[in-house]
Amino acid sequence: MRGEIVDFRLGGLARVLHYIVTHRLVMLGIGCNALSFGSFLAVLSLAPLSFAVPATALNFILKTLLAKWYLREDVSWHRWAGVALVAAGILMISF
Amino acid sequence: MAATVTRRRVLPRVKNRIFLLLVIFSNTFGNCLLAMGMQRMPDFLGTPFSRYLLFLITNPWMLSGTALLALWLFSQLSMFTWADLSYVLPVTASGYMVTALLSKFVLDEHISALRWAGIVVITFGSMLVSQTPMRTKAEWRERDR
Repeated sequence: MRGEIVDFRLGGLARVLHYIVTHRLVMLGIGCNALSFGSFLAVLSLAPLSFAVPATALNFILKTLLAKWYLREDVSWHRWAGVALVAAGILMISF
Repeated sequence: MAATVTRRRVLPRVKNRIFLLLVIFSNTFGNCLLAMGMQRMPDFLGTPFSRYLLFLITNPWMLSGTALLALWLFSQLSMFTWADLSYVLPVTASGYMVTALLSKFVLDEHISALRWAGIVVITFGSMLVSQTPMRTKAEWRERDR
């Protein structure tokens, strides 16, 4: 299965799910997300939601950098400005 | 011919908007339900681990929150098949505004003025990214021509 998902019927979704659980890189990514999720649950028990969710969003910057260097996406200055605003907002929330 | 071209251009935008809303709201409500679930859990250090685990897997807030986050994950992964990672993540950050509203009115959390300002700034950043093309990789540019 390659390319954009266009079939959202039950059979199509089942094929997507099959691809997800059999593709090593996707499962590794989900594993990392699970680790992040576990840490996030621990943070939720210690801090209010309105702090916990944005405070963990600094990974935006890292993901944008990886998208540019590894995924070869064309990250324009508009997009960088948007990401910078998101990062600035995160810093404001941390105080 | 014109109608076919228009339909081909409209449907991806409609699909994109539906999935953006799905990603934002499933993530926001999933996190909110998890927060409510965690607030109802016993003290981790004062409870035997097996008992804590039992509370965790039978907590309806945790179960529904986890189900919504599974929907969020599936929706986001689907979006990555037609949109850039550096587009999807900032654009869906506008969900922080929804999270803040839920935190205030459902969880009764206090949100300072500075924190509100930060959330507004995040939303503006998200809106700025949403004005950029949703896919920029060379292979997609060729397909879109």
